Amino acid sequence: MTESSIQEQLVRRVADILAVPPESIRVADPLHTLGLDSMRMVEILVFVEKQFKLDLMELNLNREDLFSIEALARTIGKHRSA
Amino acid sequence: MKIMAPARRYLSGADWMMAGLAHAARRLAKSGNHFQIVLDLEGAPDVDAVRRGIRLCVTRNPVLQGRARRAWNGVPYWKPGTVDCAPPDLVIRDVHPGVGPEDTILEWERHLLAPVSAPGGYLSFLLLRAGSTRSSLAVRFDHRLFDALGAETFLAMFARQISCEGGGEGCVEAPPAPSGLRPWGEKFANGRELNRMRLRHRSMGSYQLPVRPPSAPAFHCALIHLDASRTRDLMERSEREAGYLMFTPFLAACALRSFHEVARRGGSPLAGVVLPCSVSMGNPVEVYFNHLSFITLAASAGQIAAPLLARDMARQMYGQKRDGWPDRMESAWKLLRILPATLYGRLLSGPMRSLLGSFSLGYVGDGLAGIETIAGCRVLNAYHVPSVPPIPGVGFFVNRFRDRVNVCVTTFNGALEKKNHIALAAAFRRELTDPAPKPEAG
Repeated sequence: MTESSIQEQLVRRVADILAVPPESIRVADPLHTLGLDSMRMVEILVFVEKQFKLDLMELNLNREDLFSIEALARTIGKHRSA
Repeated sequence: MKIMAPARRYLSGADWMMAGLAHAARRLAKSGNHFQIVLDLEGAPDVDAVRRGIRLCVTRNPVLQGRARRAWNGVPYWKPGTVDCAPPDLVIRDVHPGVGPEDTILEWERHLLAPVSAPGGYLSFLLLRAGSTRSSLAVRFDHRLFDALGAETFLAMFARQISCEGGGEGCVEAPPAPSGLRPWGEKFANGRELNRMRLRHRSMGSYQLPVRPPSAPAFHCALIHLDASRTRDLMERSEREAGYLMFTPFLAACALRSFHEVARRGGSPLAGVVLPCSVSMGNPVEVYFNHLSFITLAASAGQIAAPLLARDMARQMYGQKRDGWPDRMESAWKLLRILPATLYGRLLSGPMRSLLGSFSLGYVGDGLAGIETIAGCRVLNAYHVPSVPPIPGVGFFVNRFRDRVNVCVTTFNGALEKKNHIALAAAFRRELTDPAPKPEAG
């Protein structure tokens, strides 16, 4: 699975959570500027576990690993191939 | 011949719980289940414009004139009223320009208990004027018809209505909602899981303060306003301790420590704490009714003392979401819609009281930030000042307004005396602004 494909799936999920069109989401924007709160962030993490079989809560990630959809896709790609 | 039922707004499990809590509040606190949003204004608004805005907002919206009814299938629904009922009046109180925050808070506490005047009475308005240079407008909402986010959306509409001077938006309808009676099996399964969760919490030991009906019921409110600099520090600390975008688990940890400390010092030490944390289920936000559910966080006394409590709260939130809560909670609550609201209220303040946890926590984000002016006056700050259900009788409510954080700590005087309420607010303020150092989340 390529990073681009991971990014696309994340964009669709975030758009679904926020009830906005996927094309309105910019992958480099910080997640907190997209209007996400704790509960919505947890929804994304649960989606990542179910979709990509990765429990990000266990990985002791820092802010930069989760900061944007782009960063999150990179993190997922890196840990899937590890 | 199939008879088509009218398209109705059936009430959700959360709506009916609020109806039950309203009756519990009436019994113990001689009040309803209300919350208010206060807008601090620069200057004093044009009173006629505000009254016009109230009249237009209320008379154009038959939902505000309605009440709950029960359909043939036993499910409660909302029957809108007619649009010719008298709107609530704007109550105006003039206070000395030098009035301090303690006196202002007394006004909000009294407003929570003020009797309703209009038919339905789901809204009331209080304007506090301190001379001509500053004022505050408090709008009180009934939780049977509004949740926090819906009320913020209503206020934004109200502000626009005033500035449009009679034109602007018309009726805001509540779209129909299905009864949600089926599937039954799923609801019973979720109800069973909710009961199991409740039993697990009870096995921890005591987690609720004793609550007695006081001779003169009252709510005590304490307000904490953090400026931009303190808010920045707070958000950075939240990230370090709980993780990126984990502000609610961080707040939960601060509230747990404060509450536990005060319970212990007040002579009612608890074996642990159970915290129903409200979460919004609506997107996009609807104006009316309750689109919320709860994530239930829990910690033993030992866990509360642990340095990684905020991280623990974030993990609990994650685990519950992964297991299907809070949707499962709404599903289970639907089973209780068969109860009359009066009986539901009695059960919630009696044998079902353990469902309500040790205290409430709500964080509503920055939905008020878009309200720039009210009747020509700039909005300097906007925050929530709610009541709490008399059981458990303690609540923490947090919102953001632009670059600052506001907190209201509300207690019912049957749960905490005034001196313990003051101690609780002081403990929470210390947690937010001057805490002991904690390890980082990563």
